[in-house]
Amino acid sequence: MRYVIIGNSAAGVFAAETIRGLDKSGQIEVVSNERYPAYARCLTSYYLTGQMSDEQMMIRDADFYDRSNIILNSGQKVTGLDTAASKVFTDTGHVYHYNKLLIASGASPVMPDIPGVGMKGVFGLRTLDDAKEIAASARQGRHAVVMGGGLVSLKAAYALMKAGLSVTCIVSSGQILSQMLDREAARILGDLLTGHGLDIRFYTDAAEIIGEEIAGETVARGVRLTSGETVPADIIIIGKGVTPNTGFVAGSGIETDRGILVNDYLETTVPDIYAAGDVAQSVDILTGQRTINAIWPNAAEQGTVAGRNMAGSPAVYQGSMSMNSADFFGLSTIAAGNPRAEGDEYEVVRLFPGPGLYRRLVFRGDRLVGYIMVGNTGRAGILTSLIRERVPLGTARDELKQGRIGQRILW
Amino acid sequence: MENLKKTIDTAAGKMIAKAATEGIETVWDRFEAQQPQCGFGLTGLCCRHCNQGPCRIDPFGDGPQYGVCGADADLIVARNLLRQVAAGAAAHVDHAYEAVETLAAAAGGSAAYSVRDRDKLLAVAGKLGIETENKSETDIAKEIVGIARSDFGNHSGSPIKWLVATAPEERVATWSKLGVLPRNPDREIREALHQTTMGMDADPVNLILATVKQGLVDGYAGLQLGTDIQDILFGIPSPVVAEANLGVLREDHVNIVVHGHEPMLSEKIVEWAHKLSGEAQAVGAQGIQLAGVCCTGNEILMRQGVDMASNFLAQELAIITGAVDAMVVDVQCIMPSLARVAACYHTKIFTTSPIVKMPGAEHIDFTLDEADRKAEEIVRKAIENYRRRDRSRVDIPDVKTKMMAGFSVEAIVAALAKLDAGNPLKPLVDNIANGSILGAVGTVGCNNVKVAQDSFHVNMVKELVKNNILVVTTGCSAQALAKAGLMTPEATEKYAGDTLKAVLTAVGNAAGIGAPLPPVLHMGSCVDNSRIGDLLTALAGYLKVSIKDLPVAASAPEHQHEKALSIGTWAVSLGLLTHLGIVPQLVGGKKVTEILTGDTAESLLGGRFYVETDPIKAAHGLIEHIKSKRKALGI
Amino acid sequence: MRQILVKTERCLGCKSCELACSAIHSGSKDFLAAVLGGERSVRRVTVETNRENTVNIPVQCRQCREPKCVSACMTGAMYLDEATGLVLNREEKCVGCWMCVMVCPYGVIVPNEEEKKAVKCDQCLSGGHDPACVKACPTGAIEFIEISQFDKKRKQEFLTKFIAGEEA
Ligand SMILES: Cc1cc2nc3c(=O)[nH]c(=O)nc-3n(C[C@H](O)[C@H](O)[C@H](O)COP(=O)(O)OP(=O)(O)OC[C@H]3O[C@@H](n4cnc5c(N)ncnc54)[C@H](O)[C@@H]3O)c2cc1C
Ligand code: SF4
Ligand code: SF4
Repeated sequence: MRYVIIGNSAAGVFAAETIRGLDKSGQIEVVSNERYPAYARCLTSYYLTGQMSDEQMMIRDADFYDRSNIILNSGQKVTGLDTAASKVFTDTGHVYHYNKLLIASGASPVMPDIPGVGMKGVFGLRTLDDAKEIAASARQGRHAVVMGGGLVSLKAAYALMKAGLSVTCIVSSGQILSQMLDREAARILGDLLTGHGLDIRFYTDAAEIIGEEIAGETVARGVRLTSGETVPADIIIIGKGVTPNTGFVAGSGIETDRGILVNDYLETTVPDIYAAGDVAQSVDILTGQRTINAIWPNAAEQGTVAGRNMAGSPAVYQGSMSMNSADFFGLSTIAAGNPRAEGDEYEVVRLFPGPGLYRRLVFRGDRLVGYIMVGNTGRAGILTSLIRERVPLGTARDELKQGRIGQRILW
Repeated sequence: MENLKKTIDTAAGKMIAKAATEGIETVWDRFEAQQPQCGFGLTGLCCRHCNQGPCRIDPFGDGPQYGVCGADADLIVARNLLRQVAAGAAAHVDHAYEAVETLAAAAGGSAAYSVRDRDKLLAVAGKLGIETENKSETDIAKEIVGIARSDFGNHSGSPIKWLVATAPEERVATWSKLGVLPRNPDREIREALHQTTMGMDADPVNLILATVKQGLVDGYAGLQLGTDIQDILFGIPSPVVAEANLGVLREDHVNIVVHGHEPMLSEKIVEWAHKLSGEAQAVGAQGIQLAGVCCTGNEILMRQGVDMASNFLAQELAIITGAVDAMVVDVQCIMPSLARVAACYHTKIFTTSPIVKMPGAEHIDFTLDEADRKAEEIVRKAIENYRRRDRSRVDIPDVKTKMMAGFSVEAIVAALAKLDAGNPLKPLVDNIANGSILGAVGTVGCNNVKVAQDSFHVNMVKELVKNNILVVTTGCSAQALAKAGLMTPEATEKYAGDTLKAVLTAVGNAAGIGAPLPPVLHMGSCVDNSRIGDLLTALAGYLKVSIKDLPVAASAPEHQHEKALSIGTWAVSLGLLTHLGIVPQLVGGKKVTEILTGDTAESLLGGRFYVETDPIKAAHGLIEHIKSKRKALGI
Repeated sequence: MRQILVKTERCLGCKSCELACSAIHSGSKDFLAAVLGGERSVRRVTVETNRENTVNIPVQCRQCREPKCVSACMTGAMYLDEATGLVLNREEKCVGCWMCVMVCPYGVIVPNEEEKKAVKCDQCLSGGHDPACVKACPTGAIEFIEISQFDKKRKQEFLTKFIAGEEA
């Protein structure tokens, strides 16, 4: 059996491991356009602090591929597929023949269409190479502008602040983390970050990146905002969301929407081809709709399920769920499910159980469908599983509002 | 547990082995069965003061930090401590009250009791300001009783008279400033119980001050009152030679072991054992052998030279010899297991106090009115019981040591007077000043099953005397040191540092012993800790300094009882560094622990607690303290 | 493979296991020394009780066969150790992002905020695989024993119900 996996990250590695666990002899080839063994993409922001070694970034031991008999073909970009002939083509001229194929090519940052995006000093933050480049110019005392108020932007801003830079964050809406948090939680976190020196600009956007010609290169020097003001910047990080890496599937017969559409077995519309992770559009546990919840745990779990199905041990994917965790200056914040839901069908409970603590619980009918916890999040996993398992709450619903289930203290 | 971890006393070790082969449960088995002991209790962080509890505070900060009522760790610990210390004080005050009642009986013409020590009678009358000229002993005794009783009936705010008459003025002033001078012992104990109920005092510092007050209650309405009056009734101890350890029991004698704390009954048993020894012979025994356990044993050892069977942890082991015909108990430290152990042999347990009864024991209510009749009855029953002894099960370990005891302050002063009649304290003070005696440590208190029996007492004291520290001792500590052979002239040769040895030899020779004094001076029972207080008061007075400035320290290496905590609190109040060899159940209260073991206690009282669980380290901690005091005195 | 099992009818809720766990994971490994030294040691077990306070149960990591925490761990720190069947955290890799905390259905991963490390029950693997909580239990309610698949399943069911707040 020949397995080919496009992508060497969360989804790809968990899939490869799972396949090897079930099929000791099949050939497993992993193709990746990056030049590293699998690393922790989510730690790329931590890398900017200058306190992470390359070794710490790796999610597996150095001998992982050898030990598991997995062939890693790095530095090769997949450019196209021939699904009729079961072939994968790369920009290096390699052709891989598969019996089972997994597409786990993840996503890439969306770059806005404004003048100056191509200048030196303007980055997306997705890969270790991105992180290395940014880190190389992230010197103490410099200025950075982070565009976007999402988690990746804020994590990057946080890391740069720790590295001693002064950071401005540009948020086009009136709220940071508007995908993850409600206004109250965002305000608490925003206050914390600004209290530590982050300059957040709301209701404005970048109009243009201003540069300076240095040795034949245009180097970014600042960002002009739609408000007219210009913010100085040596480093500009774009965090305006990601788009799935689906380019190479065009014309292959694999159906795509925002991402690659998959069924309950994570199989694409072409038999024997599976997709998992940030590139795959799979069923959402709460809505039943096919969406992309682009987070590491979903990618890893989908990789595992896809791997099982590929290795002939059928498994149904339960569905993905939106959730995330952030920890800034020791204040832990976790949100999961559909925490921002509003409207008649929902009951929303907002609690302030102690200094610096905030909880938002969202119920629909007899079920918990979303929550936000700011501070003291140790038992958050219980709430997550109440959502995931769709547990009917009964009397526990009222207890939940008091921070417990039965006598079990949740916060 | 291996036997070596249980005891360092070879006699006890043998009896533990015997108990094991005979399948008899002892304190060590029960301790093992209790493992693990609850950490909340160990740290004092469990409160059961109200029925909303029990409440527990997580010492690591993960769990609850407040009890249901809102009490935090320090408050819970401070309330628990005050209750423990009040309970300890209550035990000694109740004991002293019995002594007062006995003196009242003697003054009232009791046939059983009389004033045996006129010197002490006059001395106590003197310090209380009682005119003695042209008064009969009975009248003086009556007046002493009157003053003691007036303390218990004091409804004014004035302090306990016995305290004011005994404690150095400087101390009284210090305590007065802190507002901790006790008025009426009963009232203070009542107040402590009230103060610690749910919804009362919420200030740990105020509770600690109340604890100090309980220490003073114990010191003066317990220890001092008890010893003063017992000396009047039964005599001031003077040096005696006796033997210690289970080997004092005799196969061919009726063996009566007295156990508990008060001398009122045990003195009578001694008397009747002499009178009835003929009857013992009539049942085939050679006579009656008496032996003591715990402080009642110390009382009759100090005054009557009665041999000592062992200390607290070995009380069951005495029965396990199979040779004890009767164990007579009065109050305190009597293991509830005794009747169960005795049931495995012919041994009879006689309880005698209306507040100490025990299923399986025979209760003979001992009253002052009928003291002689009851003592006679008990001794007769013991003789009778000798017939039932199963010789096949008798195994008395052949282990005993010689010992000297009886070192009351009066006795020490008398010995020193042989060197300088006009100024008896001078030789002692001179030798302290010139460094021949580096300082003194009083080791007191119990055994505790958490450490090998006697090991802490003995190992620490050996290290102290090696470093020329004179050791005075009471209670089970004294018994441990006696069994280890530390109360003999040979011990001075073997263990004492050179300069200490020289001094003890000189005093011993002058006193006509013809050998050195032992390096460890047995000053009596636990209530006799007041003797140590008297000695310190005398030394401080002679030197015109405060007790807190003397190069001395106290230690309760194996403390177990609440009484040890109240005595310890009194010692700290006197200005002494007071070592505890076992972590007390209060370390969960960080602030309380800091106050009691740190600068706060020291700055307010001059003394503080010092917790160290390693005997050698503890010895050196005490030595360092003594050296720092010497330095401050410029010697 | 041995598992930590609980006879709930014997659990008195004294929390001795909690303290023993904290103590064994303290620097000094000794309870009184840790308290005296003011160590802030984090425990990996919590005694829980049901609504009626009639059933107590010490809850620690269930050592799931399909551990959510492992797939959620974004650094590769948390892993399922095939040799022992235990879910373990390589603390040197852990950055304290609390992704595992977010997904553990039993709420048994403890965020050690001070050190920014997720801590969890490792059945005292480092101390000779002899769980301190088991030794500390005065009533023998916690056992460390081999279990059959059947028992294991029942256990999981029980816990799931318990967490969900149903009748235990
Ligand atoms: C800074 C940052 C912080 C984040 N923080 C969090 C967080 O806190 N929590 C969280 O849950 N998620 C976080 N994420 C998101 C998380 O990293 C992703 O959800 C996760 O990495 C998705 O994994 P994946 O395997 O699907 O794809 P990816 O990790 O994107 O990996 C894609 C793989 O495919 C390869 N590839 C792509 N295209 C090609 C091609 N054409 N040919 C060959 N190989 C190709 C790549 O080289 C790579 O190996 C963060 C992401 C970033 C960038
Ligand atoms: S007094 Fe307070 S701490 Fe003690 S048991 Fe009652 S509520 Fe709990
Ligand atoms: S930590 Fe939680 S998710 Fe992880 S193995 Fe244990 S119980 Fe399962």
